[in-house]
Amino acid sequence: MDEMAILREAFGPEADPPEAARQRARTALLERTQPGRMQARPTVRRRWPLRVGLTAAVAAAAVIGVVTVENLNTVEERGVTRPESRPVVAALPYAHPASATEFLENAAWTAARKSWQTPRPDQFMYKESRSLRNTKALEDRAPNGPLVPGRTRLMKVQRWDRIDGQVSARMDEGKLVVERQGSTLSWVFVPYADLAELTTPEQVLAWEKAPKDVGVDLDALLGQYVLPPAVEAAVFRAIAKGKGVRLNPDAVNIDGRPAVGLGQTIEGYLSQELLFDKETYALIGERLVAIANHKNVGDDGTSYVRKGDVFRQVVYTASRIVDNPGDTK
Amino acid sequence: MVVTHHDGPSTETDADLIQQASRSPERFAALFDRHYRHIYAYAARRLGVDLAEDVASETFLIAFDRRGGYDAGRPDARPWLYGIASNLIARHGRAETRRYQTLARIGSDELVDGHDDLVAGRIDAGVARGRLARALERLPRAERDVLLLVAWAGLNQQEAAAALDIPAGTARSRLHRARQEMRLALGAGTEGDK
Repeated sequence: MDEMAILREAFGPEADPPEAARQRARTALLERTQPGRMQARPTVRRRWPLRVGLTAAVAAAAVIGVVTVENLNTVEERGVTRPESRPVVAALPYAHPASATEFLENAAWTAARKSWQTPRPDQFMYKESRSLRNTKALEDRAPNGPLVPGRTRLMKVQRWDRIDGQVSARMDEGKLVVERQGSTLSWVFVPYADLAELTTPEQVLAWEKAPKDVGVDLDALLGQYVLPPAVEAAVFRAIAKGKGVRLNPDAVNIDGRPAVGLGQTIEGYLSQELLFDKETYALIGERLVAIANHKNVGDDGTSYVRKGDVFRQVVYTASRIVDNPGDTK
Repeated sequence: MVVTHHDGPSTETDADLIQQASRSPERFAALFDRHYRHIYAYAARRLGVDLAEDVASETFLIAFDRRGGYDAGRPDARPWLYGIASNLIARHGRAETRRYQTLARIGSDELVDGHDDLVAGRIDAGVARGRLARALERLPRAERDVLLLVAWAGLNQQEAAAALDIPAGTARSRLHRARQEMRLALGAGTEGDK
């Protein structure tokens, strides 16, 4: 018996894949072969108690990558559309995603299963989030500084943008402010029809590079637009194809549920991270965190950034199509 | 050319299926059905079953994405698929190393009169596995890839070269060195390749 035969025999017979694993892999492949043609499944509407702590513990814990949620300022969020968790987990492409690419594939697979009805041009994208910000006094003094533990406030942000780009609305201190494109006020926007066509990662990347009237950051696109499921999935896959996307192995518990960060390093010391629900793979927020000490030298003074400083932390709480500005369901 | 190692009675070559998939993407599933089990088994031997599941799955997703660049002159897609799998396995280098370390420890306490037993084909499988695992751990990845594509995936030298996109001569010399290391690990000297 030569060394090749021993090598073959000593490590035992070939392992047969579990049927469930084979099915997961086959399903993932079939999904890939039919981008944008997934069967819509009924989406379960559930009540997710959203608990965001406004305490020093939040920002301080975020510094080391784990946010401990304090039971303060409890906010109940109704009707947040979430993917149905049990069937998703049962058939995910990767049972144990070990890389950013694999995690994003699971996220794409999950996103593609959301129920969807193509919006009319006169309907609105409603985006709601909770943003952790420094106190106003602190912001006025250092507008670009990191969040200071114990001196933060939670801002509820609500925006309505009409599909045709002609009307935009926001909630400003409890008052609905509606603005229209016109001679006195105008803004640039990404035509929704253009976005709706981006159903493959290749299309997304080509579109991202193409000259446009407005600068596009794929991360921001996810946070600001209510995208069709196939487009959202394609954006996740496009991000996965980017260089330097890495999985943050630290559990980030931003609102009481386990989360995972997927980030890209910018300027050498900051990590711009999308936050995903660890169980359902749904996109639930974003944050910007320093991953190395850094010295900023400026004409108006030198500032120091410490590893772990959190600059931005946002939880997405609603993303849906509604009929009128002010509607939340 | 007849394509071997296929499950099922289909006479269509892998290249046929990949070509059909350019018009009917779902045809790629037939390629999956033929080769998934083998890709999984290969990855499982190198990384263990947990990571094998993900590697095998991603192999076919990547293959599907790259189907447009497949050389239709190659009826058998196994070298192509194993090449993709090899690249994915390389991402898990630490896991593979840990696996060999564990297997080496399991067999390290057992003693055997190596040479005589090996020649007679009586070496204890556990001991052989321990020694080979230690040697595999030490082997440079490039040599290990060629060796295991031949020993575990069942490719020949030319196919292994195609899988790894290296010249046939390079694959041959890597395989020669790797086999030599395996023989040394087993205590069986350095006789020529068989």
